[in-house]
Amino acid sequence: MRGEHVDGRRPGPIQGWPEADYDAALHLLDRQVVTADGRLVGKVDDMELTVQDGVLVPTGLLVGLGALLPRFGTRLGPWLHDRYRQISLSHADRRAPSVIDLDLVEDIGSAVHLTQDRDALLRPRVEHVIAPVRHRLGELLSMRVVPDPSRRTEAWPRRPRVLDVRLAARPDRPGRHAVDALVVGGGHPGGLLGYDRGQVNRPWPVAALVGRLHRRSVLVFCGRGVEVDWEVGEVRVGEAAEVAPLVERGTGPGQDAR
Amino acid sequence: MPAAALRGVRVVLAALSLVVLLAGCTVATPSAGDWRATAARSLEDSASAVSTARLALREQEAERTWSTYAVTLAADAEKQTGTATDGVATLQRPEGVGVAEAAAVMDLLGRAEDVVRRARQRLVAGGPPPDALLERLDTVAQQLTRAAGRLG
Amino acid sequence: MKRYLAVFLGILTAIGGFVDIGDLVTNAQVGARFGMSLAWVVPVGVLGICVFAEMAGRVAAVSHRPVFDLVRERLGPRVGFLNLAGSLAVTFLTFVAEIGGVALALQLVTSVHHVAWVPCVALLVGLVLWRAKFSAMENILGLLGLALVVFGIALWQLGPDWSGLAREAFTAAKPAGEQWTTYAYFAVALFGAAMTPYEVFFFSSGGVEERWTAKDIGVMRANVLIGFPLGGMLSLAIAGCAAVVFGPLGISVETLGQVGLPVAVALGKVGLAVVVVGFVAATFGAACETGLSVGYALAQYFGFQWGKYVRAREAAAFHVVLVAAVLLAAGILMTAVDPILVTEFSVVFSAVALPLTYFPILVVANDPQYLGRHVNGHVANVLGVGYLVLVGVASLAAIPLMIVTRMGQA
Repeated sequence: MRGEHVDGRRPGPIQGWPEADYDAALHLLDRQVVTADGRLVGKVDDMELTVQDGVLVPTGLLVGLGALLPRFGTRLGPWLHDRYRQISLSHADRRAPSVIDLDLVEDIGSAVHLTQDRDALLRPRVEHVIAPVRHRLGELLSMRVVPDPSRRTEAWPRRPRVLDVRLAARPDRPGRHAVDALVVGGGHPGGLLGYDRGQVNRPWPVAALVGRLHRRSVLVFCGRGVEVDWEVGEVRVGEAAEVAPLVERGTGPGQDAR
Repeated sequence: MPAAALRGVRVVLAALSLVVLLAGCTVATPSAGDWRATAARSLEDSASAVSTARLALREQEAERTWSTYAVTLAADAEKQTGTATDGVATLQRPEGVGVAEAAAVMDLLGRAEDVVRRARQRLVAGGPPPDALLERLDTVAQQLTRAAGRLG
Repeated sequence: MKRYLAVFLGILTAIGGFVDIGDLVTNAQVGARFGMSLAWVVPVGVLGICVFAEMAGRVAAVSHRPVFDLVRERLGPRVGFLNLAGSLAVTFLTFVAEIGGVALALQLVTSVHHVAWVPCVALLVGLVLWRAKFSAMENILGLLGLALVVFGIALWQLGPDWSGLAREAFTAAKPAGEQWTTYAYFAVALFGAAMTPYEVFFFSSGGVEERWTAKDIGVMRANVLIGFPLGGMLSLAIAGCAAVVFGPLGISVETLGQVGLPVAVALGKVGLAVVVVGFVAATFGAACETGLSVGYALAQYFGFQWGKYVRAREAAAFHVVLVAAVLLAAGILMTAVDPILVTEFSVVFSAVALPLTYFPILVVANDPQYLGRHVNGHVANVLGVGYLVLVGVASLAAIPLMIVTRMGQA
């Protein structure tokens, strides 16, 4: 079921994996995972982000209901996940979902292709005594964004939330990515259709409508002035943070030279 | 909007929708117009069933169907006349409808049931149907349609 | 030569597979009650399903992603799940109706009550879904479904007043005794019957399983753009037969036996026998397709292995879903619920659920990252947006109309 090349390119949002930049929610989440022998193992239900040298680095694909259910909204999600865990407390993967290491990903086209077969592929991560700090992408998505009072003059979306995460290839570590920027928008429907990022622009009425809903979306570049508070569940954007409008750039990942 | 006010709005909305739901749960007391509309619909359904039974009988006589097909059609028609009769019989007669009017409707529906049952019996027994039965089906169907037209 | 034969076979099975219990019942009901005055809905619906299926087929051929993969990708897990629940409910309802339809058709031959046939039919459907070779099943049932062409012959034999029928069809003249709401309700029902969403789930999943590539787009288009409209002609013939035979007698269609009766009037026993074969093939084929579609939708949302081209034990969860669906459907029918009533519900709710899957497909069909140069052209987009509006209106109007007209009884 591997996609063959059309016009010299593989069907799918990410060209030239693993060197290309991509938007995690738009281009990777909820994609089908396919093993080396062409079997289907599951969806990318969530992504594992690990803190390395102070930056967030994607390290694995999380698969299974234990990863999917928390993404069903801020209130419904945890409730569903609790019920799911209660059904069988003895299963570790209900709490800590199975993870597929990103190193096993061979290519990302319209599906995620792995280098391994599916036998015993899915297992929760076994941590060493000194474990790195790990988060889920799902936690980051839908976090509130709180701009510093000094930034209130800018045109922020009305109730800003993290919609997506832009991952950039790391020049220092070839083939590895790190969280580069947060896509912040008003949480309107249609954020995964690709209209807000210039990926799709037809048919015109749909593009105009969805584009209008997302016209105020911005890119908040990680680094100075941006603080992700995982405990409270909000992102604080300070005075020093670099913010750019998402729409005016009008470019997808991989094309924008910052 | 503050959270408390939001919760208040929600409570009011929930209460309102409960009231609306409960309002729909009252016992229906049909007006004369409702009764006549139901009666007309039942008469039409019954007429349709009688015509179907007649068609089944005619086609079977002409050997254009086989007997299981015709019997199934007639049995379904019989069930439909029964349902149509029930539709009126279970409805309380309102003030504005005379006893005689209601009785006439019930009488017609009863005749339809009877004649369709005879058609089905004839199809099960086999053999050519008496011309009288076909004629009777035709007459009853016309009576039903006319009565429905008067009411509707 | 072999290639043309394959295209021809594909078109034939597309025609035979187009009609299912929903088309049979709804078209006969509408024909008997409204004559040909609602005939315009059939071509509108058929063009709609052509647009929808062509886009889904193209996406499947180029990007190898079936419908529900895209639904979850583009709408996210939450909205995607609501979408899954809605589409699954409608497809399952159609599945129940189709199995009931097979049982009703068998009752016509044996006069054994349809409830008694249900376990046998369910077992047979289960066996076919589990063991039978996919393409063989599709071809045999599709070709047998062509038996319904006798409706066309019967209409011709009945020798109707063609100009009168045509006038009714083109002026869309509502019969005097009917309300506009009832007219609109049946228009939505006919639209839903022509554009049942499962057809597209099945079509695109089949395309992914058969490993279509961009090279197969031509063949796929031929199947859709020739096969479906010809299948729509069968729908019109069914409506025409009912209009000619039942219209003057004031008969309303409530049973499957009545649907076939005009053919008996026109062609006698032989014609009737062919029609019943067509009933069984069309409903049985659609039962298999809807059953598989239930499994496809669930598997594609959650990502587990699905498909008829891998061995059953490779796709164990998929087959468990199929078995559960068959058992549940049989259980529902064993309560002696009228399959015709289930059908009436299923076509209306099909219209309700259509936008859920139509919209994501329209968006992806425009995504150059997925389709490269095979993205929608101008014609496809004008039609696509037009139908997006139409499908949305039908979806919103369906349930209010159903309540106001008491399912068309008023």
